[in-house]
Amino acid sequence: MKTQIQKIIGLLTISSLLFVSCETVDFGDENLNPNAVSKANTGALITGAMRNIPSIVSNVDSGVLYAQHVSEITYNDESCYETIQWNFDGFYSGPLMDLQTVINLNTSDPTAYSSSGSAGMQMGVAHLLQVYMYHVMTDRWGAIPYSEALKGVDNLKPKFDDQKDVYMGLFAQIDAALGMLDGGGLSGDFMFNGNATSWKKFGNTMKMVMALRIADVDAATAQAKFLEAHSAGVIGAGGDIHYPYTAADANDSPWQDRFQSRDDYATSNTMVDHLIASSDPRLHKYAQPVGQAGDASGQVTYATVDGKVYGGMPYGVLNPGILQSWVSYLPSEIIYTSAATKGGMLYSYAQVAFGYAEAAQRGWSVPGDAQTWYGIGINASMTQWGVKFS
Amino acid sequence: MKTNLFKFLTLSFMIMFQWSFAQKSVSGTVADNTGVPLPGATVQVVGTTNGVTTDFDGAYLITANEGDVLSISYVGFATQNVTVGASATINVQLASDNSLEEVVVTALGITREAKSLGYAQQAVSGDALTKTKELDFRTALAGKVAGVQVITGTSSSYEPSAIRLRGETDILYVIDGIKVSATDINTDNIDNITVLKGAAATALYGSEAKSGVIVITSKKAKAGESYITVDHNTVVSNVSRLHPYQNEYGGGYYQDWDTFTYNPATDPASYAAFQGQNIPYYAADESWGPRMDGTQARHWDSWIPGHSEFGKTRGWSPNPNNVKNFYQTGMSSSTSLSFGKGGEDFSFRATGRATNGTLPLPNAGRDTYDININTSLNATDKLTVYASLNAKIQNTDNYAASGYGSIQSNMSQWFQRQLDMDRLAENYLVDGVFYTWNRRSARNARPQYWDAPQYEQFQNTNNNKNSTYSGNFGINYDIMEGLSANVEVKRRAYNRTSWGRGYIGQNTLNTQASYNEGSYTTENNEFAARLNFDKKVTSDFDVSAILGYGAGQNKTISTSASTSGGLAIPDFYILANSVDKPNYSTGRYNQSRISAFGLLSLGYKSMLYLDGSYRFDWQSTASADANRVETFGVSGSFLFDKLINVDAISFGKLRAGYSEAPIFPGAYETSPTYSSGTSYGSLASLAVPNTLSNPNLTGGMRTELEYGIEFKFLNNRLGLDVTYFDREDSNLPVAISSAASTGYTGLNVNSKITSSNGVEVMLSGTPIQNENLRWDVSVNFATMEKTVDFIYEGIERNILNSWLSWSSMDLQEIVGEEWGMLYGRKRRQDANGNWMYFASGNHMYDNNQLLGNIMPNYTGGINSNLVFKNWDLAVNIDFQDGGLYHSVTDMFSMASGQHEYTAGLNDKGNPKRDAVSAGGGIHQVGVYADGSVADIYRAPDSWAWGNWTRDDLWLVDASFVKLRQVRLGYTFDADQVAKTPFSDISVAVIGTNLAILSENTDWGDYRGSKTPGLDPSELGAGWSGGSYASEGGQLPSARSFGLNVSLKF
Repeated sequence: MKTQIQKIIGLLTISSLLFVSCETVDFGDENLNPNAVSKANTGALITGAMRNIPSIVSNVDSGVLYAQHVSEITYNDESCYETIQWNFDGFYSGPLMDLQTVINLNTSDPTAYSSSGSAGMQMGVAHLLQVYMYHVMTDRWGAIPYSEALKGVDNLKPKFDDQKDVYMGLFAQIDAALGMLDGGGLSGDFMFNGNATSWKKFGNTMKMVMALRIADVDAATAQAKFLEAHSAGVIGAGGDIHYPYTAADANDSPWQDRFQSRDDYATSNTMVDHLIASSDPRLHKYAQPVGQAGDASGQVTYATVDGKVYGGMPYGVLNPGILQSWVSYLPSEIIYTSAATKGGMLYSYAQVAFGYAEAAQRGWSVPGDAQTWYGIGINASMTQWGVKFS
Repeated sequence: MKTNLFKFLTLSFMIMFQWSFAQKSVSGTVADNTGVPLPGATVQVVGTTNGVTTDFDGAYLITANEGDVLSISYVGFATQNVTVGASATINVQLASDNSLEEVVVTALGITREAKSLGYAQQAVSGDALTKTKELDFRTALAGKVAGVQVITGTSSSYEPSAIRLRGETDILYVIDGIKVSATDINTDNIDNITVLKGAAATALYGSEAKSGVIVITSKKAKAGESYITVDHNTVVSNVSRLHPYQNEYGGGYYQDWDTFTYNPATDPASYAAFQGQNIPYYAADESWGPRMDGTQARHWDSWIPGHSEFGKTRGWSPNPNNVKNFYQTGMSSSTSLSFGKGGEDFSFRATGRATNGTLPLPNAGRDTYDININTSLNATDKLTVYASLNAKIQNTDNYAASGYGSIQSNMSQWFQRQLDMDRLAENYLVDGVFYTWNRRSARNARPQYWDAPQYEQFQNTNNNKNSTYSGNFGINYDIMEGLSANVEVKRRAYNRTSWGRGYIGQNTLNTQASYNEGSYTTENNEFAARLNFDKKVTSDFDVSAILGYGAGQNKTISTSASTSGGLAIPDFYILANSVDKPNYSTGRYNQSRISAFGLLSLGYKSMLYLDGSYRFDWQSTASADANRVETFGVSGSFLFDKLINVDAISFGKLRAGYSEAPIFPGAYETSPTYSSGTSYGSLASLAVPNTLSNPNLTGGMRTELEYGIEFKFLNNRLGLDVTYFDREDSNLPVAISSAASTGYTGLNVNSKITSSNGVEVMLSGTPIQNENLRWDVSVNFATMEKTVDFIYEGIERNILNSWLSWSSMDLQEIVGEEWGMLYGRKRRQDANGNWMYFASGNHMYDNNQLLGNIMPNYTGGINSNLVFKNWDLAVNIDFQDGGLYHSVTDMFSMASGQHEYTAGLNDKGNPKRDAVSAGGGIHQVGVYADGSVADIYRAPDSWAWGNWTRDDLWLVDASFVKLRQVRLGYTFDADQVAKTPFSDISVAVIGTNLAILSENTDWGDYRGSKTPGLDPSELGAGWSGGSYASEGGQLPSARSFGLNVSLKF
């Protein structure tokens, strides 16, 4: 009996020692996430980052709304500045980090991701896209984290850089990017299909637009940057840069989703009245004739142009009580656009032409004079909207 | 010599002969010290396995030899030993046991004497839990256990309830040792429940049990039992509480009537007759419209072509019960059949239950089938084999959840008060065309924002089928006296498939049909082996020890798919019919764990007990270099009643304990990956996840200190149990929020430290006890406070849940503050407490202000059970003080003019909705930004729309006292029953969710003694998820009444 107990205790001690001695247990691959990719496909990261551009170019709140191109019909809080704090977090943790990862991966290992194209193209395009987003952000928010941003745990509290430092940093980033675009192909690029020339034009156009933005605070830098962009080559006639929306639901225009089951927006009276006052033929492209010309609340002003009745939605009136059918809708062409020529506009030739007009007006050494460029700009916009204009 | 031997042999034979004749039948009754018979008492021949139980009258019959010792025992009484003598009848009266030999099921199914436990546990009997036949186990537990807070899902739907035990929701549920989910439990099959609250009690289960374990023992057939029982109950439920609506003004944005203007160019000639008729603002989903004074108007259903009402006007009048009329009487009935038989060497029990029911919510219903089988066999005298199988199959149609956008958020927040719900039900679908109250205009039947409510429930159908199979198989082997081995395998497999469709038809809001499908499968397999050692070393000293090993694995696969771009062939709801490539995603989650543990218990003179445990856990989700966590626990109890010898104190115990429990990270948090997103055409897209993975993530630890004292007074007629716990979680592997400009919104780190403490009190007593009447009452009460001590170096604030997109309201963890802080926009007051207003009259406000803490100050319940002859009356009340949540229903029902407060008279005695210039408006008093006095009246719609984003206006105090369950039952006498084939008949009337006895409605400046609104004790998880901090559109609460009949053969 005693020996039996001793035997058992001995067995137990040995087995417990066996367990105790195991510092770790090897579970093999069990904790490798099968639901996600562990090796980066940098082309796919760029695709993912690009898919965030619609939130900029087809934005309504604080975009076409604050500019009073478009008006809210029933729920007018945003027009009345209900949201005071807009959040830029989504840019940083989303596309900016995806692009930074492409840059970091290609910097540390330039040949490992060659299945997505040359390292130069990948980094160059990633930089340009980052600049595009940072530019929008700094124009909206002013001082933003830039030089210390996107470093993960290495810097948990990135400082806010002054807007001036951000702009200068962005100019430098564009120049570096333009130098990297070696035409070595890029997969996942549904905007320009890896065409280095198109990307260079995009980069230069962006630089030109940025230059004009700072023209009143730093004329010298503005002029220098503008002329650099001009000589390197910006987009020309017919070179409008649109985001290519598709017909498929997954990548269609956000306007289409907004109007799927709701009618929250109409052309604003500010826009309609202005277009009518200046006899602008784009009126018929920006607004739809009213369904029912008669407003019980008496707030809508109606005007007839070329036999069609238009009434812009009064902008910024809280609880106006106006029925959707009493005002001019946004035309179907704007909402249901799927053709590449009508999608969300990043930069248009009209914008570039007006840019040249302003540069000429400021006396910068650009070819042509302000008047000519102004006319070119107007014509370009009419062409863009498909309006016959003489 | 020869003759002596012969004489001796003959004598021996004669003696043997006498012995064999001496084996006889012994019978009698077992009663307590007052003579009341004790059914189910055990009568056992000592030293054998020969045992029986007494029947309903306390009578028994057993075969025994003269000189055998019969041991008669019954829970709560002192065991008596009686030697069998000449008499064939032995009646026994058992004396009450002062020192509480009550036996409790603890961790791993080990039964221990309650007095020997050094940690907090509370037992609830299965009968007490199922008196009112609640189907959801968690709802049934409300108010019964100190420290358990039950947040019930809305009672008019199938939304599940949630339990917080000492503030944590990740509680482990175990049935007969098998880990299950709370929804697997067949409440009718529960024998008893032990709630093991703290880490000490759960040191034997590992990291899954760190927040507590609810150990459920299912009913088993006892030796000597043989029965068939049939149980049936039918319950009807009706909506009992709705939001307070105003019934003065109907739909629209302004009070003046629009009139019809005939347009000969576009209208049919017959429309000329409509000239001048009053046209409601159909497209408005708010009720700021004209007064409901009976004015003739063209209601929405007067535009349906070919309809009898076409072209006719009707009075514009209130329909105060329109929302209530949407709901119907829900009915649920459940029948269960159980078979049980137990003998010396075996026990077998099988139960089947079928439950079918509908909800007050129309077109919603659920069928559930449960089968539970429990069996054990003594294969040899040393080897016992046992097995159990539980199956649950459930089918739910048209499940609806609370939340913004749900059907109730439509009716409470965006509706027109004059609508007649019966006419909506009749006319929402006419000749295959849909019509809604929310037409775009008189001429345009397309909906503006909402289809008719019936459309959502009857056309956008969904279905959910799930099945759960769980079971175990085990062997117990007695190696020698005091040493036994146990080996067991267990498994739980859950499978759910669901589908839902987004219907479109003529005049529907949605113009693109959709269909989605999903499946979810999870399985949990476990192997456990144990060596048990039990020995009475000396007469004063007991030792028991356990050495155990366990291995387990979880595997989960979930897939979900939905159509994109609509359906190519209309009305054909399958994924292959998607216009564009369907969205499809799959997730796989696997994790494994291994554990080894040892437990040692010492008992001295039944007065002093000491428990110690040591445990190793390894889990695959931690870093491969450091995936082991060691924890230990020690607890002791000291029964001091014997030492102090005060008559009044019949039992006294002091307990103390310290324990640790491991906390492992979730699956895959250590591996860096990229998540796939929506592709662009044929191009795949990837994204860097927003939470940074950490390959060095290890497990953390929870440590807990617990002290308790238990008293029983006056011969166990009064009991008091007080526990204090102090818990700290450190090194927690959690995702903390970080500034997005780092590129990540969350980081997985091992740094968080939180601590919590609280007091739990249970007071129970039997104020009245005599031959006919017995009244048991218990009150339990618990406080709990959790504090955040540390998050990460340099990070003071962690955003847990930021879900209200209209304003920046979120739930935050802040270092040094209590957990559960709700932050948002708060109206500003000046130094003297005056409200500060903008020139517009809207409240000035500040962002990111503390709104309050969502956790309660204390929770508890009162349970009363009265037995008078054959009658029994059980009443359960539970209560909560403190805690709050944000109400979107209040917010939008105010903004849309549905809420009672937006109508009625102001302090001048004029209708609030009259023009301010005519004396109407809501009175606002305060100061402007420059300090000048503001004393204005504002139109209610301007007030509501101007202030809807001020989050502090819409907070609800979650305090309540609720009469949750009442049961009145009658058990037929033995002699009445004798005439029937049954051995036991009882009937009962039950009521659940009966009334809120007390709530705080006088809170915030727009409330007051108003009609009570949403039930503060119910909160759907569909809006703010597991944090229960906000409701987005809560389904109403429903009251149920039912009848139960129970028959035993």
